[in-house]
Amino acid sequence: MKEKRNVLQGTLALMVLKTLDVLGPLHGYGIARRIEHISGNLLAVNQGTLYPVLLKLELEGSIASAWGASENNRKARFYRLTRAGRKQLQAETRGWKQTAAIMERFFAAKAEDLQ
Amino acid sequence: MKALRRFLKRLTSWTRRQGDEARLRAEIEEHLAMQTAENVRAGLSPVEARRQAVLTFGAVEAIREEYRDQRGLPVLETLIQDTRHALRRLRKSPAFTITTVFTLALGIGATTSIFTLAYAVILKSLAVANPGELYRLGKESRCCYWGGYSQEKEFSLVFYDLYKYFRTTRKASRNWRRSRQASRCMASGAQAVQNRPKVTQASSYPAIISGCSVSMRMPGECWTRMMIGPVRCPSR
Repeated sequence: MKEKRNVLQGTLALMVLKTLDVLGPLHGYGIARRIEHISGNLLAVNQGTLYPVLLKLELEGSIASAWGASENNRKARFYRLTRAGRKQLQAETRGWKQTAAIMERFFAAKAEDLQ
Repeated sequence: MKALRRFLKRLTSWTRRQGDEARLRAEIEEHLAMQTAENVRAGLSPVEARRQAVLTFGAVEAIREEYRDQRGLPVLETLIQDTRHALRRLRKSPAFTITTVFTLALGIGATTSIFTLAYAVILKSLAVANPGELYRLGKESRCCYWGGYSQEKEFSLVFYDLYKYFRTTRKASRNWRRSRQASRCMASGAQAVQNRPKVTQASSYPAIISGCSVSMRMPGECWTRMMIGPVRCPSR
């Protein structure tokens, strides 16, 4: 159970980084909506899970945050990617692609290939 | 590196926990407001919109808990809390507290004083370069401490006669080390005569001289070096 959540958190962190990389500074709600849009309903259950992840990323120095005004002029906390975060995103993207490629090959393997 | 940075951040964030709590609350509020607005735009009634927003957000308390885990030093905070709780409980039952403190004080005091004594007598090195090479000398066959007990027959310290003897027969003192071998001759009489070093024959000093390591660091040390040897073997 806990492991599953950790995996989810790990992927969630990467999604956050990627979203900020693509869209620039964004508030928590914006990030949540973006991730929801792209990933189907991974976050539909618990949007709130995002906030601990945001804090963790901020403490690690991957993102920075500041208060600002949202589109409809409300006070909102905006997150942006730092340079360290960009580097981390690149490294993790590479790692994920490798893992995905390996898994892909395993799933594609048939009985005769393995003999 | 990342872990170190996180630790430092945690350390600093620990001091401004109130601010962080307020920030999270504001962010959640903000999030819910935006989601509600979105839902209203989608055609829900304001009340239902708000309800849906809260539902999709998830359990606020759980998230707050998780948020707290990320920030600050949870271990330290728990420790402080527990300590406070313990102190409160102690204050509530003074009789128990006094008994406990007294017992502990007595126990610690006794242990410390006994250890101090043991340290001074047994463990601490004497204030010389090689304490292991210090010996007590005397003319009894068994010296001062035997199996941890003090001998009734007090083993005398170097007496002036002996000193004079060593001073005059420098040869003897040069062979003093060698005479350690001869210590075995004390144990078995027959062999003793064979192993007897020459110097001992020459000496006119009649007594058995044995030595005992002064430092009691290793109990065995006293035993093995107990008898440095007779300068002259007894001609039993």
